[in-house]
Amino acid sequence: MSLHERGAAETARAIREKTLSPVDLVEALLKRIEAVDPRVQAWALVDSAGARAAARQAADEVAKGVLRGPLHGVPFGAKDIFYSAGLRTEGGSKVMAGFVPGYDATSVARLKSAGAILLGKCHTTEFATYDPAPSRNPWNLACTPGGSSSGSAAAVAARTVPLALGTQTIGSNVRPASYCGLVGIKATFGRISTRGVMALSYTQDHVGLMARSVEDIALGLGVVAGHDPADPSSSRVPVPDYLSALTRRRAPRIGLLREFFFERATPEVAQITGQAVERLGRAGATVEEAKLPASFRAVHAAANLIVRSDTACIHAELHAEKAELYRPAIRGMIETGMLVPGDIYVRSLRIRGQFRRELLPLLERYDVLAMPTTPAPAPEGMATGDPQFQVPWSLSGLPSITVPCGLSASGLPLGLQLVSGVFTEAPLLAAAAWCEDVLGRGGAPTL
Amino acid sequence: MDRDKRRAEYATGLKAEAERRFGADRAKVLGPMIDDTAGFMAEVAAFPVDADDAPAFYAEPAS
Repeated sequence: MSLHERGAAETARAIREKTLSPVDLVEALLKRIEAVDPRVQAWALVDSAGARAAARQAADEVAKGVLRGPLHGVPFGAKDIFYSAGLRTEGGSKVMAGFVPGYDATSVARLKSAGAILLGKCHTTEFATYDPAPSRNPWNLACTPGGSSSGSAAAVAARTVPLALGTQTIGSNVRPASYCGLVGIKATFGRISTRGVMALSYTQDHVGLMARSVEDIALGLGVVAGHDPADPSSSRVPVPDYLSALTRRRAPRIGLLREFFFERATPEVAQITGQAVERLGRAGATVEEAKLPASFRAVHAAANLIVRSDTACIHAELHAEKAELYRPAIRGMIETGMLVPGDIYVRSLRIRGQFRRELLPLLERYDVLAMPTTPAPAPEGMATGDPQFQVPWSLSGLPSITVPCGLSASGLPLGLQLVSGVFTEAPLLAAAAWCEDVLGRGGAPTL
Repeated sequence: MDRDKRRAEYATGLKAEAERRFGADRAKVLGPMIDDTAGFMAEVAAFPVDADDAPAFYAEPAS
């Protein structure tokens, strides 16, 4: 297997065992970027010099028997809304042209502290909303990789990096991961610090991870999860050992959400996802149809109003100075968000509370709720696809993960989305790993 | 109140406010997004929120 095809856990093991040099790995990935990124356009900035220097240092440390952490020598990419000290961070926007932060986002800093090497910054839609990034889907360059974490998904799928940071406010991490045949997680709100990440919403911004296996996600999550005193929304709930949770994988009790999700999916997506769930059932999972609570019908409206209002507040000063520099979708979100009355905003927050409360019986009855990750495979063109299947979990803050579950007739990846209760990432990852065992990994695109 | 009627009333009010804040030309550009927003507002306003449900900001800690 070529070096660029190896996953994060596998490379971390090889580096620890001194059978792989971080220098060779970084060179292989830079070469891969040179070969495929002119077509894929995943990377907004490749920090070749910084990555080479970090790789040399990592190699020297290995030679001396020093390992900084579980990702020693493993390269990663970060969506270009994550602050990276000394590296241009523009959020896909002319509004932030030339901005160079003075510090790393907490998640970037934690990955570096664990020995990981920042390879560069991945393209994003403007401020992680809807105005598209240039990135293309490695499975079919005519299609979007999804958004807003477009470059992160494209970079991992194109085998130019094994692990990437994305974010999700509406549907921006799990959806692109699914469109690109990856595993992607959005952890519980508050599980991963959002300090140093360009904000859209005070209560729906989540940091996420993308990789090519559940094990790689568990490895990365164990590094970035945990309390951050600099982030007021960061949780103090202890972080379990996610990798050891994978050793306890077993057939899960699955609550299948046919209502809404299968109804809104294309017949092909409903069929392929249904077949995948049948395979899980034959392999030993308990599968029952679960019923959505009454408040579900208001969650899309509530989530949209919360995000628009928050975005308007967060961008008020920049908008006052530079409205003309914003592209149409984000500018429209800001301006319509400024118009939403306070009582409607607060009512939306109350609907979130009710939805979360009404979900509790379902989350106690089942290990995971399951549904198609997206209504359809990645669409052609620049538009980044439909996020409606992620909205309820972004609003409620519940953890969700996508695992590949098949290919469409057009050869595009499809995903199975799994959701569980607050701060239950360990059993969620165990269930996802079990599903991955049954369904197989996502395969690789031909580039 | 009927939801469609409520939605139309919200849209009228939002468009007037958009004209006041951003000018008539910009308010016209925002028209379709304002219609979406009015639809969301009508859905949220019509949903019978339980009296005991306070605004929820963060996910509650796992016990």
